[in-house]
Amino acid sequence: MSPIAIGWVGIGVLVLLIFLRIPVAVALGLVGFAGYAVLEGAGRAHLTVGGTPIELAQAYTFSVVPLFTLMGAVAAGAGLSADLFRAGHAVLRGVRGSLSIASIFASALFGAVCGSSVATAMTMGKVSIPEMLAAGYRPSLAAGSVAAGGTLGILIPPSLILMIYAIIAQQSVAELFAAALTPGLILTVLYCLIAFVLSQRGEGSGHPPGGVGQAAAPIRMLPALARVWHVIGLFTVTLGGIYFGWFTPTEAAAIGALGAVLLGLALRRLLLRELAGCFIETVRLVASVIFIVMASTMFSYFIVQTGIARGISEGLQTAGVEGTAVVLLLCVIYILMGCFLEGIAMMLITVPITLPLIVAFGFDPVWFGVLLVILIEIGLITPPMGLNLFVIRAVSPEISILDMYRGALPFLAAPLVLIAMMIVWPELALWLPSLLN
Amino acid sequence: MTLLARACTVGGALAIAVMMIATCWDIAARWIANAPLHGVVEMVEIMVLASAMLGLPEAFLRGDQITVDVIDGLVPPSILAILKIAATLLSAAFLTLLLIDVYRPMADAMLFGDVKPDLGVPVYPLYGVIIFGFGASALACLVTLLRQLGGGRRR
Repeated sequence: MSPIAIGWVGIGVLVLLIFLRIPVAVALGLVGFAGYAVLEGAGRAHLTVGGTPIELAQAYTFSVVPLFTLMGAVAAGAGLSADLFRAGHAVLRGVRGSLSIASIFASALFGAVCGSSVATAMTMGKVSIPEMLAAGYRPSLAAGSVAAGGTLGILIPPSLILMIYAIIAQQSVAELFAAALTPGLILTVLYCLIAFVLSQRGEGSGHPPGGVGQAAAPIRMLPALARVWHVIGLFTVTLGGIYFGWFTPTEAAAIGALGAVLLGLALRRLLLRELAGCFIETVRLVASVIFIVMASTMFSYFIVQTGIARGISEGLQTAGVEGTAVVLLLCVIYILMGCFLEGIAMMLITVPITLPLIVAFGFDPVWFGVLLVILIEIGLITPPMGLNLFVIRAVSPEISILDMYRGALPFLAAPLVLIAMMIVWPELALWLPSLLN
Repeated sequence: MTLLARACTVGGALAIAVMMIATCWDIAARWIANAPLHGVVEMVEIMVLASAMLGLPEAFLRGDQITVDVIDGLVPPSILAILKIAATLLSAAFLTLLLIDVYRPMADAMLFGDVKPDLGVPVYPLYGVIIFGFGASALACLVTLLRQLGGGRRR
């Protein structure tokens, strides 16, 4: 059997194991080890497996993962999301659908200190959905806007998924964070536009038909805006520090984490016990993430040996397929996969194959990382397995699953439009990293 | 096992705290006194390893590993229980494989006296932490397996 055929068998076994409920990390590691052993012999496979854990677990680049995760956990535990939501509502008061737009706006800002979409959707859902329902919003609009807003947590830097991509694709964390910022802002605007349009139907949008509430006086906005100084400060110091070259990503993450801890304690938002809980939560998440990346590295060693990615790209180039067509095809595959697979798993399984393919067609790996995150975001709000939908279901059990699906669907237009923009104008992602360089 | 796993996680939390404080200390010392903390990069690397490995046993015990559960609604409970047991067994097998394979580089590091260049600390204890993390996680899988078998018998 040729190495490429062995590679396809390995991928088939991997998919089977994953769908048979084997943990993704275990499936990746076992298939990677067995495949490598078949191709290179058991002795070399054991050597490779033995060297991978220390090589990865003590990698300096990994240190951004626990530190930014801690910053996000503390920010969520300290209830910073509530301040952001109220500030957003204070600014937008009087606009139809203001609560819905405020929840998206606040999610974007919260995403700037928290790299997780689940944490963003959960904390924002707890704060904003009860207020939206009490104000007479349709449950579908309330759930949809929070689910969509939650996805911004993984696009607006710092993003856990971008950090993992940086490690497995061997790209600069700072460049990826810079590349994701503009698409993140565009997506926020697109989500807000959709929420605004959906809110124009008077009934169930929190306002009587034909009329809107009274706009807030600028003087009344100030106290609410002043309450979010901490989030703005954390964001400016951490990401500003990276962009302006004051800190390395690890240093920025350490300052952000320490800043969040000190803020939580100084503002009396966190007791020591809750702070300890944030640390424990971070350790468990980091351990799982590093373990799965370790296993994925073993799998990618196997995939590289098979030459599958090279075979596919040569086949496509020989057939005269254009690079844009390849990207569109990958987008369709990722969107379909996102209906059933969790985002990190989807990325770790596919990147060993898709990244060399994309690079062979002349696309930038940083641009692809951002595109991949947007595709993963679609999976987060796509029925039937959209993770953010389940998070909101857990936070607001009074909203039916059908309402949640109905609410999330219109928001899918935003990432699809953004993907089209990214394909037509790759500079959207690449101009800010080019300034860094 | 729950207590051991929690103790390991607390150790991992301390490692993250050390990583955070050491990095901030280094920045402050560099900016204020132009005297960076010697070996901070290696210290951070060691703490990353400690937090990842010490958090693993509790992550396995609590079933935090990413799993795709689309099959749950498609198969009868008895089949699902068998699949869960198979997943735990394979997890234990994979962890044992890692545990055994990491032993050889640890023995080499001990034999050749490998040290971290800046801090001068020997490297083999780091392999020891990895082996401990994988071993405790394999044990956590076995405890989970016993719970799954016990649960199945009760049903």
